[in-house]
Amino acid sequence: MTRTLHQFVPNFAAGDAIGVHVRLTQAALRAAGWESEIFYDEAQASVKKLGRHFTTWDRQIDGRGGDAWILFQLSTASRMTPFLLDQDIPFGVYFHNITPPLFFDRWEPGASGACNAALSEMRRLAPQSRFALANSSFSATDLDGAGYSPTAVCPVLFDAKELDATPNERLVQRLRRETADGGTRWLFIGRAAPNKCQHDLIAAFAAYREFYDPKARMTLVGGRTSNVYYRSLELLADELGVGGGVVEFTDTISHEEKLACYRAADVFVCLSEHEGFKVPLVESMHFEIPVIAYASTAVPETVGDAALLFDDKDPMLVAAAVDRVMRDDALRSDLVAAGRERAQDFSLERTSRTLLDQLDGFVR
Amino acid sequence: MATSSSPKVLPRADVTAEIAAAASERAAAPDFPAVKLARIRSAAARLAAGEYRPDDLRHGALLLERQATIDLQVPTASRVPGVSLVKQALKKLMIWYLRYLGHQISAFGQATARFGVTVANRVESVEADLAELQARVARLEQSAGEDRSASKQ
Repeated sequence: MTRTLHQFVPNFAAGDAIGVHVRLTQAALRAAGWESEIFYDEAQASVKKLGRHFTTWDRQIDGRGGDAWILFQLSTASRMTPFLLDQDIPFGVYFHNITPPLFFDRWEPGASGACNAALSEMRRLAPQSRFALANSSFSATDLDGAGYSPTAVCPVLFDAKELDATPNERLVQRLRRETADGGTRWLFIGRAAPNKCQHDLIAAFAAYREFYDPKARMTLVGGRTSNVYYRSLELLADELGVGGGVVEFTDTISHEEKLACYRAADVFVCLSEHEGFKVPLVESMHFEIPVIAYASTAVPETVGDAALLFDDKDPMLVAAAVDRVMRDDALRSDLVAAGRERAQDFSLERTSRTLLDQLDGFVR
Repeated sequence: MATSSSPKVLPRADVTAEIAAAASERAAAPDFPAVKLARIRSAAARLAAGEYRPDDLRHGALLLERQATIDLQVPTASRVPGVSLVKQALKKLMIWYLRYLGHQISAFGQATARFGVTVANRVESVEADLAELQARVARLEQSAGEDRSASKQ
């Protein structure tokens, strides 16, 4: 008998990690012979036709009168939570993690409230959830703490083949021209959010430019979770003398432009204080860019032994780390080789297999 | 979950320790511009997430002050090719209107923020006076108690 597992995702977007994960999960399920549809609350125009609004859900038809299962992609508070709790349909959760409200308290009280609401909904769903998957062991401990059982870890699905597409060549050329007469290019990819700590990156970069490499440049890729924080970052860069394009804030960019940023980067530096899983770390390793990171939350388990990890992120320490990686060919080669191998651990084939094996065990 | 199978060619712990030592050594050199590093550290520390209590009136007032200025530089970036150009054109067409509106909203926000800071100052002043009065009352009660027990003896 064909098994059915439909996905519920509050915000379905084309280019973000959750949107990609949802589409690849559906593809993996269908390839394995499952029936699987996507239901969303909000969706970008470009992906609307890939799913249906969750209010069109029909218990008899879609839910097969209670025989179908639902996999809820949990990352935010949504109208789907009360809906799921009202349905007599077995469901499980895939947890993408929720940023602790503390990070938003001083910047965006609204976002802080939304994080609190999401955590509260996460706890409400636990008693009725039949199983829960987490994107990392770090996130799994959050699930355990909220009362979910059983839980398992399955890394987020993404397709490295999409990274081999043609980058925006004009941007690659422009970025390379800027460092043509020397200068290391730092890269970080992540939304401008206080938990990503781009302010620490700017400080470390300013120290690097001041004390090691006056021609260095940095690209900060990512849209805005907090507009106020974003503006403060721009002001901080100006204050530390690395504004005016030395630190380039790209805001939201296309996939091809993102690929261009990877192609032009010399080192990926991540000083985040909260990550449930960080796809750009793996993408950097795929692009053979050495990674230097602050060892917080899920970052160490994501990079394994393929990055330089620090328990401290003092600007001078991070600057010295980049300097060492750029000057020490053996270390850089080692990091690149280890990164290439580590990235293979998250290949779509492996993560899809992990996901299907786990769902096989839970959905019975 | 996926597991690491990376070969450990160079001992990472040794490398990170070496880097930390090199950073400390450089920062301790006599000719090192320590003031510049201190300035970088303190500028970043200002933006760090910190603990805050929901009843912290001053924090609320400062947040209001920070949010009071309306940013007219509307983001025009987009993932979709061409959309960014459309946004930039619209921004140019509408900037005169946004400036007019933004100026008034900013002025209102700043006045509200100033009121909030004034209230926070007054409340903190009253709380300080109250704490001092409570201490004085406690001291008076204690000395009255001691007088009473001395007169009984």
